[in-house]
Amino acid sequence: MSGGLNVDDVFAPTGFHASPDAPRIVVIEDKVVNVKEAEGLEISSETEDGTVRAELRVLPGYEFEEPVHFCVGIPWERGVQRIITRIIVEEGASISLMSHCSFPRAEDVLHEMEAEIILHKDSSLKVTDVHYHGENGVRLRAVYDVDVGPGAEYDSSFKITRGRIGEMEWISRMRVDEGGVVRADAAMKAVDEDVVDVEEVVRLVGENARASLEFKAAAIDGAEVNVVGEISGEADGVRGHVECSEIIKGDGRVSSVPKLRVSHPGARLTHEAALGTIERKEVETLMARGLTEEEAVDLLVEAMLRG
Amino acid sequence: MLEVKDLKVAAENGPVILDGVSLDVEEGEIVAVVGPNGSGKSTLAKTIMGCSGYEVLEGDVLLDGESVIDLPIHERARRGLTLAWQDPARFEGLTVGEYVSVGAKDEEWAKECLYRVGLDPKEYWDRECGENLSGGERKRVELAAVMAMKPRVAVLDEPDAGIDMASMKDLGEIIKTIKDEGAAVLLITHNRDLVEDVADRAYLMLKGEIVDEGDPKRVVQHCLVCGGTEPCPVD
Repeated sequence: MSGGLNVDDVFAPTGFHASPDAPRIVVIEDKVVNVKEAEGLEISSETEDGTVRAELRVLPGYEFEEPVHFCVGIPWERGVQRIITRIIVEEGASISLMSHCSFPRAEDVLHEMEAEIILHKDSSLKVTDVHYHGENGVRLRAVYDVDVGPGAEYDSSFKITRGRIGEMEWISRMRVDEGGVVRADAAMKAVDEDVVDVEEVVRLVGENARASLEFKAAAIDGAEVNVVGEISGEADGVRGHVECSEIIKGDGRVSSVPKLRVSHPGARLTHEAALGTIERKEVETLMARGLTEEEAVDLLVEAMLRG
Repeated sequence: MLEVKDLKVAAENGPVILDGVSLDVEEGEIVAVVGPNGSGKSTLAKTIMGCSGYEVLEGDVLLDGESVIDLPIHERARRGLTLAWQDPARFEGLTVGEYVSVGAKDEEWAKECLYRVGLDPKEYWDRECGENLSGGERKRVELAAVMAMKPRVAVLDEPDAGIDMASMKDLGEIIKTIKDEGAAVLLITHNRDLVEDVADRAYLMLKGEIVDEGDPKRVVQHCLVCGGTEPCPVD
């Protein structure tokens, strides 16, 4: 609790359930309201001129089986949230972050996130990032710079499939050193006036580095989704794959651009893209089982984004 | 229970496919509609359900004496009418359990329906409906989804198409089970063995018109290739 604010209620729409023992950092608008460290995990934060700066550092060799909660949000209708965060996972350490971003009553909300993530040799970080922007959506600007060291692994999973998105601009730049691995997937459901621009760029600069980018998106009834997934193969033995699946309904629009760049003959990169509409027959089959058209579309989109 | 009256239907911006079709299915009956490819059987099935792609020019579809012709598909379904597609949808990402559960009263009953169509829920419940199922398995899942609804009228559009002979043997039993669960069944097919096995009555459809009605064994004697004008030479 913070000033009468029930943190669990704020994040409930994202599926968040706080374990009382879980390490965490919780940011409500421009205030860090809850920090819980653990042995091997250092968390520091400060607020200056309305911007929250937070640093999470996992000390060498520490491995966390339970996820650390990193939750941000604004529980009221209007506000601005700016967060600059730095996550450092030292050599041989391993951690997963459950990141919940919730703006359940947003009418005029701006959320800006800048993140620098540094994974040292043979470390690993798994980030599960679930957003809920309410029924009106927010303006979201996020920029991630990720440095994946030798033998390190970075798993990122982003999901926003309920409510509106709003205007979202998401840029993620990843650099992968020798033997490092990046796996990133995103599932987005955009409706009505939502506009989504996502750009993820991976540079495979070390030998035998690997990357897999997977995007699934639905643009429904006027929404627009633009996705760019780029992998650059710059060293011997690197492997990369970009996969995009997007569907539209009504006058939704999607643009999907898998980009592959190769500057080393030993690199191998592939891509796969599928764009289409929600099949009328699938909708009508579910309607023949008693669902309304809207319920049928929701079920199909949910299944597609999950599948 | 189900009554189709003088139905005249055209493809959207296309030719007339059904021309004055009338038939009825009473409670507890299995009624077959037989006819060659292109005779309009699947159009009839989809029009009864209210599917898109067709324009009803004249006529009516009544359920328990009340017209449903202007109702959307889900309203017809909620009144107890449903359809098993000839080529079931693939549903990317949707599991068999999720699909069969859509119209079921609970998960236990949905699993029971899978058992009754010959699919072990332990094996199939979490499998995706899409590429991982064979054509025959998708047909069975489709029939399980229909059974799970406990419909009052089930329209089955060529449930035998694309399945092997071994599967054909228990298809009749599955259709009878749907009937035993309280559904009147309108069976669209051109499989005479299936008709003789399960149907109480049969209609013969040719070129968008009903040309014969009566005992299934007699109706299927018409050659479905020549248009029913002579006894079938291949039987």
